[in-house]
Parts: sequence; structure tokens; C-alpha cells
Amino acid sequence: MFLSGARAAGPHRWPRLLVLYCAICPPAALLIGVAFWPMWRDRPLLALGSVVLSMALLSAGILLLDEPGQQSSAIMLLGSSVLLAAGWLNIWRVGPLPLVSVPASPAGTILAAWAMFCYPNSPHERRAGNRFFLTMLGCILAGLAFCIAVSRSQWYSFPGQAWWPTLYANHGLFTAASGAVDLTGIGFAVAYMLLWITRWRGARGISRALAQPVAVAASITCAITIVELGAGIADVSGRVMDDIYTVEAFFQIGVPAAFVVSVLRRRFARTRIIDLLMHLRGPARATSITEALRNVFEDPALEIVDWAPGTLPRGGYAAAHPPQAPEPAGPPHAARSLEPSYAAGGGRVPLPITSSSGEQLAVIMADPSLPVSDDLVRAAVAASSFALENAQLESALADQLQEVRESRLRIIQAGVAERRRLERDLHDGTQQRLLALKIMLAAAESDTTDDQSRAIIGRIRSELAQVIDELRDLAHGIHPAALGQVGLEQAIKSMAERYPIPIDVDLPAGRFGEAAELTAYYLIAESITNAIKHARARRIRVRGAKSGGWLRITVSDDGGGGANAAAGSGISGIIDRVRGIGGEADIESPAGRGTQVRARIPCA
Amino acid sequence: MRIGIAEDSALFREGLQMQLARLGLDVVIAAGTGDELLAAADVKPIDAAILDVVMPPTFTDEGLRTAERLAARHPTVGILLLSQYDELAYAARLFDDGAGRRGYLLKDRVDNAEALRDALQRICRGESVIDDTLIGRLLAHQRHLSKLDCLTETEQTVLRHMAEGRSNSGIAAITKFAEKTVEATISRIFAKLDITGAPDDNRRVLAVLAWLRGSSLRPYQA
Repeated sequence: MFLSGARAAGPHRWPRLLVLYCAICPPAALLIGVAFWPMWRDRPLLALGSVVLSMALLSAGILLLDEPGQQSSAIMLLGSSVLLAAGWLNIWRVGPLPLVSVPASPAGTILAAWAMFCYPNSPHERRAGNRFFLTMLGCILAGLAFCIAVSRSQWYSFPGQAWWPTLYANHGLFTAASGAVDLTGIGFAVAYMLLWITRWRGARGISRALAQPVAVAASITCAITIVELGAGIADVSGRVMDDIYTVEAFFQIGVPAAFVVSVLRRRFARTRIIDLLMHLRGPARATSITEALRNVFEDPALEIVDWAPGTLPRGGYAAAHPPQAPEPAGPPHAARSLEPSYAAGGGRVPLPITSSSGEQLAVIMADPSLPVSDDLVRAAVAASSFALENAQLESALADQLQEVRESRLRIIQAGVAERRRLERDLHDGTQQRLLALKIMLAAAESDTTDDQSRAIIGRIRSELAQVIDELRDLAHGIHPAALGQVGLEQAIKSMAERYPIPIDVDLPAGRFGEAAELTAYYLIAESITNAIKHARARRIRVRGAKSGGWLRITVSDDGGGGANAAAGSGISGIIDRVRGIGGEADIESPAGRGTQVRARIPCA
Repeated sequence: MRIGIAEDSALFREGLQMQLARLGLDVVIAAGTGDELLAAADVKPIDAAILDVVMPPTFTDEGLRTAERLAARHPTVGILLLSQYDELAYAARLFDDGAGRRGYLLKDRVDNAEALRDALQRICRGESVIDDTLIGRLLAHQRHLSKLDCLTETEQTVLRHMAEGRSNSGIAAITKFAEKTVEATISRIFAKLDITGAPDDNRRVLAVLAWLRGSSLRPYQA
């Protein structure tokens, strides 16, 4: 996935960087310091500026070397560091050193400019720029080579004994050629500025913010270079030229500094992406993820669109906006290549967000200037995918839970309705018929003169009375119909009167809705039965109060305790029932210290 | 005695009619619903009405509603409520206004011709009637709780008849005590049990029932 593909920022990178620094920087500083030895005496400020510039470029190069995708910029910076230092080798005035110094300095400047322009683009985006820089490098180096070929070393103010590959010395030609090279340099510098302006105009949001320090450094370097080249054409004295070089060196330190600032900005942005997306306040929603991404990418127009309707978590963006993501070209994996050519309508680039299982979740509609293959963007997409997937799972789970709750309530309600119907059938049908039969039997009994028949009928009557009693109890067990008539308090009192032990009933007198009353009734009935049958209680207290939409019931006894709500027991069924209508119930029954059943039942 | 019946179960209605006829009582109305009985009672005068508590259309407390409307239209008609539920809260609503001529009998008792005749006669005399099986259950419960230990056997008997809704003369007749003795016994019971309310008030049946139930006997309101 994205995160494993991108090199994750980790603490292990810093020690490696430190080792690299310690291994390269001190010897390099020493080397350059010694190499600039004559300059320290003549132009100490220029020497200092040049040494600091080279070391700073070196450091920035090493720092950048560890930035994912920025290796080419890093190598260019390292090269520019070496070349700019080499540009001052002429101070030794012997052997090939003056010759080497002539192309080294402009080449170093071009490399630095190139490195700046590349940053932080992807290799793909660099391709167009590369042609320009290669052309510039080629032209300048060829021009310089021609100048050297038609000149003597003295014309460059170098001693005659220095190595110089003169082919055809002609002072007029040399002056014209070096003027042309300088002019070409100015032309390239102006073109470079124009390139930057174009790029700056196209950049928005985070890409602009990340490029900003480098852009400022590039503009300054460019201006200084133009001044320097102009001074060369104007043929100012060596002393003034040295002053210009000193100022240039110090200004150029801005280049590595800009890279350091940019790298820090990137790292900060990356941390911010992870922070924003991983610590979204509350449950993640498409809207909150969109907000986080807008913040990170500094792109207020950024949107997340649903890949398939209903994929995004409820209440999210998708709820208010119909999906408008383009169809993925080819299989899902092809859509992940994130090519700018894939840009959709409205000048936006779609960045697909895929789940860990490769399923398309949503699409970020990003600004086209966003460096889409950048590790920063990849990190953001990966983090979004985690957040979105998480939110989706959470929302799906919440939906399922709600569904289960509702279905449990429906099952309970269906059960109640069915039991009510059954009780009414027994009450209005069977029981009435049996009662009528009992009356008729009584009539038959009194009319019969035969003693034997009377005895038989009498027996049938008393058996029938028992059947009716049993049927009444059965019907009551199925559904306590009188509860709906007389209310919880009176129904519980009537129940209490059937037991031979004191049951202290203190319940509120009002009505609480059928579901709450029925649940409370069953809870109290089951608790009383348990207390008398199993715990051998001698006193039971039933307490109840209504507060804030809840009916709170406590049934306590002085029995032997030790009751438990293990699955399958009567009380566990009742607790399930209480929970089923959205309430809560528990049982506390320490052995030998009585039992307390507490419940909180939602009521009308 | 002219009787009106409201009972939705045809078979039970038939049985009840048979029983009443055997008692020599004249069933002038045999209705399936309360409304039917009320309409008929306006045309055919009756002395007592026997009402089933649970009847259509609501199958909840149609009998009680019919009783209230009947009492408003024909205050002299005695009302006997038949119920399958031994719920005293129903009785509480029936006796709530303190008027006599009301009775609450369990359907199981209808096969007992004497109990039915006795209830109807007492109602027509202006007494209250509460099914003695209900009273017996309450007394047994109180005895279990030792709440009646302070009463003599005579006092317990008088308490029982008082709870069944009998008048002083009714109690005197059944216990063969002089009415003066009954009155004195009732006063003693009220003092011993600390029951508030006039000993000879028609409401005393409610006060006694409330005491027997442990202080609260609220008539339910649907």
C-alpha cells in the first residue's frame, strides 16, 4: 500500500544522517579551508563566505539525500558545493587549477539553480525543466571552452606557467566570445526567472508553500548572477569583482538555507497530516477528513467524493452531494497510478483512496498543482484511507448494533402482542365456556335426585373449578392482563397479597407505558419468586421511583443470596428483557447476605 | 326482582340466565354489550344489572364504564360486577363514590346459587358486596403477617363481614349478635387497627379494604 511504498519518516533516519554529517563535513571543511589558504590572507571575508557557502550546500545536500524522491536535487546540491569550491582553485595559480576553476564556478551555479527548480517536484514533472538546464549547461560550457581555446591564461589574469590549452590566441575574438557567454548567461538567468514565475503561478496550496523558500532563494541568486555577469561585461576592476563575489557568496548561502527550511516544512506538514487524520475529533466522517485534508494541503476547494454511493460514513459529505467521481480507467490498480493525465473535470486531479483490501473507498479531488506522487501526498492518502476505513467500519458497526437493538425490540414487542392475544383467547373463549359449564353443572347437580349422580357431578364441579383456577394462572403467566387495567402498583400489591410473607411494596402510583410496566412486572415477579423459592427470604422490599424518563426498580430480600444471572436462569431472561427495551439491570447476591435486583427501565 | 345482564360470552350469558331463572329472578334484558344494556334499561325498568367487566369493544373496563353511566341514569338500580380477575383495584373504582348498591363478584362464584342470590339481595337493600374469597385471601395474608393478632375471634369475624360490604344489620343477622353489639365491636376494631373514617359510613368498606391491603387501595384510572 501507499504507506509501505513511501518511505515512512522514522527515528532511525536521523542517526544515519548524523553519521553522514560527521563523516563528510569536518574533513570537507578542513579541505576547503586549506584549499582557500591564500585567500584567507588577501580576501578573508570572501574566503569565509565561500567556505560557509560550500559547507552549507554540502549539509543541505546530505539532508536532502534522505528526503524521499529528492535524491537528484541532493546530488545536484552536493555537486554544486564541490564545483563552487573548485571555482576558487585559481588562487593557487599553478598547474591545471586555474583552468579547472573557469567552468567550475558557472557549472556550480547552474547545478544549484537546477536543484532549486527540481525541488520538490516528482521525476515526471522535472522532465520538462531538465531539457532547459541541460541546454544551459551545454551552451555555457561550450562557450567557456571556446573562450579558453582562443585565449592565453594571462588574459584571465593567471600566470603564464599555468596549464592552458590555447589553440588559436586572438584577443579580439576572446573578448567578443566571453562577452557573448556572459550575455547568454544573463539570457538564461532571465529565462530561469520566467520559468519560476510560470511555476509559481501554477502552484497553489501546499506545493506553493513548500516551494516558497526555494523560490525566494532562486530569485535572489538569479538577480545576483545577473549583476555578476553584467559586471563581467562592463569589465570592472578585479577588486570590485571580488567584492561582488563576496556579496554573492553570502547571498548564495540563502540557497542551502532555503532547502533546509523547505525540508523542515515538509516534515512538519507530514507530521501534521498524520496528526490531523489520526486524531480527528470524534468519529471520523467524510466531512472531517475533507476538512483535515484542506488544512494540510492548504486547498480550500479540495473535496472527497464517494466512489460508490453509500460508501462514505453517514452524515458525511456524500449525504449532501451526489457522487461525481469519474469511472476508474481499467482495474482499480490502474487508477492508483495517479497520473496528472487522469485529471477530471473542473481542473481537479482525482486521488483514489483505497482500503487495505484494495477496495475503492472515495476519491480526493485535489488541485492539479499538487505533487501527486510526492510522499507527502501519499502519506495523506494513506492516512485518509485508514481514517475513512475506520469511520466506515465504525459506522457500519453502529448501524448493525442499532439494527440488532431494533430487531430485538421488535421481537420482544411481537412476543408481547402474541402473548396478549393468547391470553385474550383463553380469557374470552375457553375460560368463559368453562365457567358457563360450571354454572350448568351446578344446576344439574341441584336438579338431580340420584345421590350417586349428584356425587359424580359434584366431583366434576370441583375438578372443573380447579381447571379454571389453573387456566387462570396459566393465562396470567402468559400475560398479566389486569396490569394494563390497574397499573403497576396495584398489580404488584395484588401479587404480594398472594404470598405468606411480608412484601413491602413502595411503587409510584402513575402509569409508565405498557412496555415499561410489563417489564417491571416480570422483573419484580421473578425476583419475588426467586427470593421465596430459592433464597427462603422472610421479608422482601420492592422499591420504585420515576425520574427523568427512567423507572428505577429495586427488589431486595433477606434471603440466603447466592443467586446468579447465569444464562438460562429466570432472572437472566428478565435482565435480557430489560436490556431488550433499552434498559439496564443487574443482580447482586452475595452468599448469605440477601439479594438485590436493580433495574433502570425507560418509561413514558 | 327484574334483572338486566350485559355479558359478551353467549354461553356464559346462557348459564347466568339459567341460574337466575332457577333463583326465580326475572331476566328482562340479556345484552351482549354495555351500550345494548343501557339502551334497553331506558325502556325496560330493572332493579339490578349484572355486568361483565371485560366486554367489547375495548375489552378493558367496559363493565365499569357501563356501571358509571347506569348509576348516573338510574341511581336506584343495583349493580353487580362480574370479573374473572381477582383485582381489588377494580372494586375500588366501583365503590369510589361512596354510594351503596354495588357489588363485585368473581365469575367463579356464579355457580353458587346462594351466593348469587345473597349478593343481589344485599345490593338491592343498598349494601355493598365484595366477593368473600377476595376478603378471605386478604385476611389470610394479614394473619400471616400477624397483623390481626390484636383482634379477638369475634372481632375478626365482624371485620370479615364488614370487608365483604355488609351493613350492621346484615352482620347482626349473619352473626346472630345484637346490632348494638355489632356496632360496639366495629368501634373497637377501628380503634385497635387505627382505621380512620366513620364506622357506619358506606365508605367504610374502602377504608377496611385499604387497611387490609396495607394502606393503599387506589382506584385505577385507565
